[in-house]
Amino acid sequence: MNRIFLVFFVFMLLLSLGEFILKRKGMDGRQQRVIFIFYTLTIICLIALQFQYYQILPTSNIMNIFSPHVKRWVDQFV
Amino acid sequence: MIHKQVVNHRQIAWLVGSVLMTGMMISFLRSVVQVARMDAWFSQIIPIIYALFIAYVLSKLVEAYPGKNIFEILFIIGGKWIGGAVNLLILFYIWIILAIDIKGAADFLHISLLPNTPLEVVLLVFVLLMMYYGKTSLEVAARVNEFYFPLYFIMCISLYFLLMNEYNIERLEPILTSRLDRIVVSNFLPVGVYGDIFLIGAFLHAIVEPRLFYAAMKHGVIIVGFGTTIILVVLLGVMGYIIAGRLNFPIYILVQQIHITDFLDRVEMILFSIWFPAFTIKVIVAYLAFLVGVGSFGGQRHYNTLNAPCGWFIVVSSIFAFPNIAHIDQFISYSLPMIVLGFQLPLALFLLVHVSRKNKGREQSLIPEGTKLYRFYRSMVWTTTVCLSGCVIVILIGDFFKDKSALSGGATAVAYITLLLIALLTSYGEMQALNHGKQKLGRAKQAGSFRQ
Repeated sequence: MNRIFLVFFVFMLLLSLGEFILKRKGMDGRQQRVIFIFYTLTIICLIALQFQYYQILPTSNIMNIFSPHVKRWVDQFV
Repeated sequence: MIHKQVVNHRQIAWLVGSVLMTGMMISFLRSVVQVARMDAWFSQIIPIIYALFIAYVLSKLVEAYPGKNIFEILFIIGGKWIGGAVNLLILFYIWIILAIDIKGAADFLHISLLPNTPLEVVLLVFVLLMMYYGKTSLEVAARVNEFYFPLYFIMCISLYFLLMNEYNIERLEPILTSRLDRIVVSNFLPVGVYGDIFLIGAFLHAIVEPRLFYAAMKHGVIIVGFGTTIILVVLLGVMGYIIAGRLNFPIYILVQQIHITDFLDRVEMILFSIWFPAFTIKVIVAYLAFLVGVGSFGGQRHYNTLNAPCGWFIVVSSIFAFPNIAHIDQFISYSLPMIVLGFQLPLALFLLVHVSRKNKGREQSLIPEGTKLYRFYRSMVWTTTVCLSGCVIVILIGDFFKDKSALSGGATAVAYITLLLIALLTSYGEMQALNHGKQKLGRAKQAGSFRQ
């Protein structure tokens, strides 16, 4: 992952997170939980991305689990 | 967003056109060509019918639950837990559309135009643009789209004339040589992309006239079907199915083939500058739908506070989910149609059964029966239906006669394109008739079809 992007992105993420922490008291409880979940997911994805190409977390095919099966089925069908 | 918005029927039609048409231009058409070869341009008719079905279900939902969007409707029908679970699946589906589009566009820009700029930076800039629009509403996107989508559609049609010197009809011949099952399978692959029409469900709370809304979406869908068919005809006529089936970005390479004169070089840059804003509008609509969905879990329609966390999440999750363009291509071609047919279709059928009980005896007419306008409207509706059914029948007849007569393929092609063109014109007539009916009923002073 590009380091300039990483520094810039982490900086903006922290800024946005800080703003949320400061403003959260004026927010509805449900909305706070939703925002908190999104920040958590972002941080998890960001950490997982650092290991994506080292095969420690082999996630590159996570969305394409079914694609080869469907492709094989299509190839057989036609 | 609480403030009132004005989005008229024409803007809805063009938004639907933009949502469905621009995304598939990156790399999707390759897999359709791989399956149906030189007959790939017959691949749009079942997706059109599918998208019309989804549009019909959405319009029925508006009739049954005025002022509610699809997320709120599902909370009402399924309750907190079941409705919440289904809404989570819809959010996941919208996230998939967003991730595919953002990562696909970033990959495309990085590979073809900006090879020295890091991919992540291209993606981040794109998401920042999306977040800027996320502070606004659908109205802004609709107005920007009103400027770019017509240009984009004209550009797509004009490709036929710009590439006339490269075009060879023999590359399409013999027409209908592919077996019927290949054509049928090639018709199922674009269903995944046409399923994006479901995004409009997130804005149902802002719709006033369900019948006009359906007519506008119908016109938008047929614009997409016709435009994509023309692009496929040009793509196959210029490159042939062997080359078109092997390129990562077939449409980009296609527009690079424009050589009108010696002094007019790189016309693709001009065409690209029209495609990109139209495509951005599609992503913005998907992003706004995502924010509305997330907002429904937060218990309110104000989604400004969710803009930043959702934007940052989409940046990293799209890189995480689709590492390269091959993954995206594979996913759009094979997994997305399965997701749409396995999740969206059953959900739409369930909603249709539910609302048909609720709407029983509730008839809404924008045009008084027996008037000249009503007769015109009915004739437009019937002609569109007959033309779309005719497209399917023409393919079946052409397939039956392909071994018996050399002329049958050509006749099928001419009849198919003509029927599609008539359907495009009559769907426009239907939409305009309903709009005139609405104005005659004195509803013109209301906010447009959408208010939010």
